[in-house]
Amino acid sequence: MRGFHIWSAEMFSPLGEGMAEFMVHTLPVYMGWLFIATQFLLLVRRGVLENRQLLSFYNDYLALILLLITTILGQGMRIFPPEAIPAHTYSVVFIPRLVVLHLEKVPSFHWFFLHVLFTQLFFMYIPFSKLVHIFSGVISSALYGSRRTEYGI
Amino acid sequence: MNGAIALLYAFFVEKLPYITIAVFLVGVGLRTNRWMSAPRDGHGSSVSIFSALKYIILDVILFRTCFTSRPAVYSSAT
Repeated sequence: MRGFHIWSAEMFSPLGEGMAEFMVHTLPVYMGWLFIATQFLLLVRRGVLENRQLLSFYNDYLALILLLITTILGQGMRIFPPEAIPAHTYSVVFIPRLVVLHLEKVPSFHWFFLHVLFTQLFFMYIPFSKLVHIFSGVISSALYGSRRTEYGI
Repeated sequence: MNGAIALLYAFFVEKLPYITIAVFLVGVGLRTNRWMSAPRDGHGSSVSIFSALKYIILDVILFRTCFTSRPAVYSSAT
């Protein structure tokens, strides 16, 4: 999010330098570990309950494993030492003037580029999997909310 | 970083995003076609923005009706 200027130290500077430092450098690391642990737990839970309380399709595992790999690579990018710290930002141009990443540090190359690959694989997989509920959940809820009176609910 | 890996990494940044968007749009098209070809129940297709937002914010996000619409379920448990 920092790369896309959605989350930055400037946003939190009114709360003090210590708070800005915590929100930008410390909290994301802990959130990353928490996110990995949550997905790992869900994966273990699915394995343990398989054939007892649930029957999974292959894409139930694929979606989770793809997200887990992407998250681990992102966390690796965050915790491993950067390649360099440029005077200005390090810009990564995916699509000129549309998708450009502005990074404060040049991240560890292998972690970064593999994270880029898996993020895009994950994005490609969304409409073909149950992850489509990211979008359809809002649409179906909006339609249901609009028609509750019609349905007599 | 050797040349082959550098080329591969450049591909991830410079070319793959276009492939990603194309694949995503194809997937959205296929999924939309599947939804639109489902049988209709005869109700209208109008969407009320106010009702939709009211339902999403109060019922989905704030769980307004979860504990009030079926009181018998919870009272019988006690």
